[in-house]
Amino acid sequence: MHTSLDKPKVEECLSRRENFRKSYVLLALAFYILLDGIFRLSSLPQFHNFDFLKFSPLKVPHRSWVYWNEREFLTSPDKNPPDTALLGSSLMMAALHGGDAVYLEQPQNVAFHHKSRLLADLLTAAAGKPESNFAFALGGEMVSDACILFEHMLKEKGAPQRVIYGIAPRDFMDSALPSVASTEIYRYMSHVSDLSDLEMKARTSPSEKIEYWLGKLSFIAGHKEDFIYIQQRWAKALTEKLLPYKDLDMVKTPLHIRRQAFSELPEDSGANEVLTCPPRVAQEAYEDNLAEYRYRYRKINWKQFDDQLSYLERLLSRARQAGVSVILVNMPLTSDNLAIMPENFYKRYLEKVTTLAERYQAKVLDLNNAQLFPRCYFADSVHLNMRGGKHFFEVLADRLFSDPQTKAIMIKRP
Amino acid sequence: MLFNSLNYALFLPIVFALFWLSRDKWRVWILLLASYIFYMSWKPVFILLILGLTIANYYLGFAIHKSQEPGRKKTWLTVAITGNLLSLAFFKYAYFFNDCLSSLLKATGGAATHLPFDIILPLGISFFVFEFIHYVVDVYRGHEPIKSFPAFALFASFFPTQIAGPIKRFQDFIPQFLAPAKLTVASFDSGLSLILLGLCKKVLIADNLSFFVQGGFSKPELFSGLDLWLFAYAFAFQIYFDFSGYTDVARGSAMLFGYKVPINFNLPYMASNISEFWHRWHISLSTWLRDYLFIPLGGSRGSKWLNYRNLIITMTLGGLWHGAALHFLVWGLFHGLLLAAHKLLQPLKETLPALKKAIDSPAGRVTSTLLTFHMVCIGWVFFRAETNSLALTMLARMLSLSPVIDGGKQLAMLLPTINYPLIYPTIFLILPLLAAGHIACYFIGKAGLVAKTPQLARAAFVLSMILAVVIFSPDKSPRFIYFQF
Repeated sequence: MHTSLDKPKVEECLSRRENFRKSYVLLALAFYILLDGIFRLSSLPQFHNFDFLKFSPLKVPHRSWVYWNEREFLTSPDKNPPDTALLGSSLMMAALHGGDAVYLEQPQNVAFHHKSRLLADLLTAAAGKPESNFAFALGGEMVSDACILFEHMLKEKGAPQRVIYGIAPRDFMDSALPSVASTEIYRYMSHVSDLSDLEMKARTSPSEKIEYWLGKLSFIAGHKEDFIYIQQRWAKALTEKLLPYKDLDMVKTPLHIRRQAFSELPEDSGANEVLTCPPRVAQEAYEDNLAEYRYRYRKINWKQFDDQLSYLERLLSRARQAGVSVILVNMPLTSDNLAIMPENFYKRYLEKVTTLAERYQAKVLDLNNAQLFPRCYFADSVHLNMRGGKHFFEVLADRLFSDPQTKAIMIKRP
Repeated sequence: MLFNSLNYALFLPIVFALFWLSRDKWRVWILLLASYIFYMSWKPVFILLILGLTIANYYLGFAIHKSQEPGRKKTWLTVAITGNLLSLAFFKYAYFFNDCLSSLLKATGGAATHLPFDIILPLGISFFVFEFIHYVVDVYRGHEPIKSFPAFALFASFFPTQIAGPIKRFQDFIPQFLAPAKLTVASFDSGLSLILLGLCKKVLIADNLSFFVQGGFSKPELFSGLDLWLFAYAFAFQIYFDFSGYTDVARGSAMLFGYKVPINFNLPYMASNISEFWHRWHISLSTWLRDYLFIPLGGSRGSKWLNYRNLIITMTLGGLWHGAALHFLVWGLFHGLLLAAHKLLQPLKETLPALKKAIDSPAGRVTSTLLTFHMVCIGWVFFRAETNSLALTMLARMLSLSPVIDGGKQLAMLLPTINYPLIYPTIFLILPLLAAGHIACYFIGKAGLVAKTPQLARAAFVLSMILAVVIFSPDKSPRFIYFQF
């Protein structure tokens, strides 16, 4: 029986090779490699002549919360670091927006509101000197995300005097989290800053690792977000030129389409989309979100917990090196939420965090106290409502100055 | 394993390399193993179904062929067809039949019935069951059965066509397996170009249009008739680019192994009548329906009314094949009626020379093409809408485009006020571009320009497709979506 490998013929092989030289697909692949190389070279600072390839962290196709955050931080005329950097997840974020909405009696636009006026005023009054702050508190922020945001802040604007980091057990262990690299904060920050020492550790699944290496291998694949941004910019410009549309960046769409877009692009949020308005009723609504948290706590993952703890250690270590004092605030939770946590989880979380904080001379302030924060201050089982947000910052400022150790941190001069 | 997944991007080159590095006699086995791995990547247990049906049909083919008595031959054929259809009915239509029964019982004052178990629809069952039926029927009609079991098993399970066709014919396919495969530059280039083209159709066009279409079809009551026509046009292009993109990847993947599978689409929206549309749309299915349903029902033999009846039954069942829901059935019935009407009016054209002249003129051709496209779009509303009542809501608005009906409300548009996501404002540029592209492809194909295109231009076109796939393919890495609850 004839087989192609039984009797290899030199002439046939040569002619086949000759034929493959005529392959237009192989020619296209060669062009791709060439183009990729040209782009890679052009992106180097010494060859940086094309506006087209001047990528920027502020030129991204989807405007996520971390984008709005970094946008304000990087474009702010103030070149100095804030006195206080606030870190934390949606627990801190809710308190920040709600607290200022009640304090200032004005709606707060979540896309642009990254400084707590309430906290600034409270600390200024207590310290007797002007106090500034900037909040890197974002929904879903894991400890790993907080660590990356902090390191980026150090790199961009130098060291703040102190970090106040609102932590909760979910920030260390969330069953819904596939990997460190899967969060929007990580994805965005990997675009903005150099995370090469974390990249492999942060990815767990083979598909994540393969995509990472493909991105490394090909400049175009690694910068696809930048190219999508360019395509969107061109599409918007063309649409605005040819059709009667103005300012396509402002979201105008029916609710059902917005919801549908959210399910496809949950990270995308327009500048005009979310406002926190001061409460109009005496008792704010309470929403039972225990089912969500049962899911988040459903399977205890100590490996993930230890991994996230290692990021806290990294943050504390970097902070100590940079001379930044860290105050870890154990955020208030409802007793309902504590009751659904896996056995020993909360205890172990608090022990480990306290031990680590002691090792790095960081301070832990435990504000998870049902007497200080009764249920009327909660919007659901974990998030403070607007009045709760104001109350939180008042209690925090009070504690910071009533405890001698934290007071020393607060009045310390740079 | 989806064609536009990272898994397939790794799977295909591995199988390609193994196939061409091995000896001829092992190649069918390598493809068979790869096809089963491909199938098991979704739900491993369903390999038993495809394997079971393969073994049963293989032996039933021999039983039909060897039977001397026509009665016995027919019995074996009936057993084979019934077995295949029962497996399809159980997995695909059990819920549908149960729902119909429940509605009937409820209407007569009874209680709803519930299936005592959950049924998962195995991927590709509609396609491989049709291939098995084609096989046993053709063996019954006198074709030689396939002797080689691996070749027969591969015919039904061949991974490029396993999930969504095209529906193959064994007479065309098996000789290709049995002949020594040869990798040529032409098949390599065509194969990879087709894969890239299919991925571009899916990722660049179909997925974006799908996002737009969902917005209109989920709440048609919010939109005017004019808006809803745009959603219908968008769906017409979405389904075309989605399905033909899939077919392109399937055909391209097969070509990389030196095999040809039939084309499924040939610029369907350039059809100037509904009969021509079905010669251009899902060709492998329409020819299957013709050969194994329409002709056995009597086809064009007998009276013209029997002919119309056969057309309507064929298309209605064809509609139900697309999905187990009443709106698919109505879609099929609608096409059956259109085909019957076309057949009914055809003699009129022959008897009136002026009408024939007008229809055959360039302006007549354009008009009839536009008319056919709009009739197809009306059909797509039934196909895409989740229920018939939603489809009727949409159609009532779409067909009330007049300043005198409803105070001209259906002429006022909501779409131009929506600017997010970007597909909404850009749809006014995208749809005309897609229509122009469709027309351009028709004339390029007619003038035979593809064959005359120089190598450099082809390379540039392939390069643009590579860039599009690399840049616009969505990430496959898992995402932490904090607000998903």
